[in-house]
Amino acid sequence: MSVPSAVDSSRLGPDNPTVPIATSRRSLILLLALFVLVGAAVPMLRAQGCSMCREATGGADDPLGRALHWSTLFMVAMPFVVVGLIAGYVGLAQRRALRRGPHTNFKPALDRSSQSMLSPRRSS
Amino acid sequence: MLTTHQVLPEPRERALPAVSNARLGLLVFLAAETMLFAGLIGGYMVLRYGTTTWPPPGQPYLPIAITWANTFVLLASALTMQLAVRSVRLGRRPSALRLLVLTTALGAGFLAIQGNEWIQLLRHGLTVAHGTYGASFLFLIGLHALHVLAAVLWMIGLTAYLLRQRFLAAALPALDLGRIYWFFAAGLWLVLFKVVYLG
Repeated sequence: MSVPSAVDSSRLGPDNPTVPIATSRRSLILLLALFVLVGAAVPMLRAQGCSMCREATGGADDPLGRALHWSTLFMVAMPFVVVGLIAGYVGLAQRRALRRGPHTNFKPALDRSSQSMLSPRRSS
Repeated sequence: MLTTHQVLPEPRERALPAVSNARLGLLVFLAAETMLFAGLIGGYMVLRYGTTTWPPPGQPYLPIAITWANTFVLLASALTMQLAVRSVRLGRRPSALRLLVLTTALGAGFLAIQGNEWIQLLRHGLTVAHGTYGASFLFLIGLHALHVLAAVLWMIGLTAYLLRQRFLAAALPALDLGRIYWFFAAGLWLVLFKVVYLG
């Protein structure tokens, strides 16, 4: 008897590996596009890490301005890195669970002796 | 005649989550920890790279060689931790216990070396009251040391639990969480070592 699960695993698995592979290809392309975008934006990021701080501290050559700039970039990036890592991990774990197939905490039916213990008592 | 009208619920089938609640909770906690340290490192970066002379005049240099050795001690403890988890999964009780004790000892060794280094630096005048150099160093490294201490205490508790427990597998969830925390402490140390010591 097949055990139903909250997720439909019939589309995935070793018998039909095309879905996850296609999904992973799409993800890879999206990831590459993201890298290209970020790479293209690096010169812009260098200019806009903390433009007001740079002006206030005496221009690009001032060490304090540079320090504030890099610190700002670091602090801006961290939440995305942290959330991205956790989301990526959960996504991978979910995909791995789908590949493994349905896995539930279903407990097998109680045996007869247990059932008799649990059945409503009759009064004498 | 029925005296009770209790209907017992049928055992329900429920899909297990891909990531356990405990693990997800720990990850969220570690995310908060990461942001805490990110803020501190961001502040340190401003102090460190905002001046032309570092350390400030009259302040001691940080010991690099012994800290390299200490870094390897912590990395070795992460390795033994991973091997301990593997041993528990394979059901090898003596090996798991040995590796857990070794992991705890390496973590305690890291703290001992760190403590000795702190004593030397305090003797050379690197205190919180002597400016941002001492304050930022002691706070950042001290906070990390507190995390390692928590991990060591966790491992001591887990080892004691394993000694009492007959079935190794019972300790696996707690050990798995301990491993994630330990890896976090080791990974964080690598970042701190690069930022604070190597500059």
